[in-house]
Amino acid sequence: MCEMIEVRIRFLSALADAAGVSEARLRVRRGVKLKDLVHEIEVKFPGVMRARRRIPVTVLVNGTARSPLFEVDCDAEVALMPPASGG
Amino acid sequence: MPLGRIVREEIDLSKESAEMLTPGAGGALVVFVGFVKGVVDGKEVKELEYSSYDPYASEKLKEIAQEESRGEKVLDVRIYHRVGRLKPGDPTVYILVSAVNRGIAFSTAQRVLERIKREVPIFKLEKREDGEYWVMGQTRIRRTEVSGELSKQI
Repeated sequence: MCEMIEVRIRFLSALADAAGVSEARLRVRRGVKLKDLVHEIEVKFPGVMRARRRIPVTVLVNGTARSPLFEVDCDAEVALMPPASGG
Repeated sequence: MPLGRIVREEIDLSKESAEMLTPGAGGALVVFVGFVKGVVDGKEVKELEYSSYDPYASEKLKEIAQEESRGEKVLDVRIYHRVGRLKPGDPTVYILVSAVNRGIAFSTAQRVLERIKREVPIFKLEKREDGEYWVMGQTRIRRTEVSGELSKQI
């Protein structure tokens, strides 16, 4: 099995403004913990790190909110989401 | 049959309502339609730009419709939420609930609306005469304050 995986990152709503892009791809170690992946995202996109100080962000993996200790596997799509505002 | 999904166009409420009527079983059909407001905080609203995280937004709307339709004395629930650029007066969200009585229908429709606001990955950019604001839950952040974060990177 591969050791490195490519993860699709989605920046939703205001976080796309902060990142400057709506999506990106990152190569990371398979099984990387979500908190470490988010740290890598923040290093690559410092605007996201600054925005997170003001905006509560939920991290989704394939559409489901996961804990910081969740291990990211192949075919993962990780989305950074601000509070919803439907209605 | 409970339904829920993201839509771009307006919904034919007559058709939806007719499909949800259950002669002899239901005593009430509540139809809630949300519209784009023309004024917020005393400022004119030019446009609301709704976006969603798909396919999860549609999946969540369907899940809410299915869960709420299992409530006691609830017969059917349908939820449609629009995305795209909408003008004041345009419909944004449709919630239809048929139930055995009006109390159940009203309370279920209200609960569905609150769940949509909290649980479904739908986002709103409010374009007003005084600027653009990201709406996040109960708060608004001026768009330039967020994209200003970007300018600090460059």
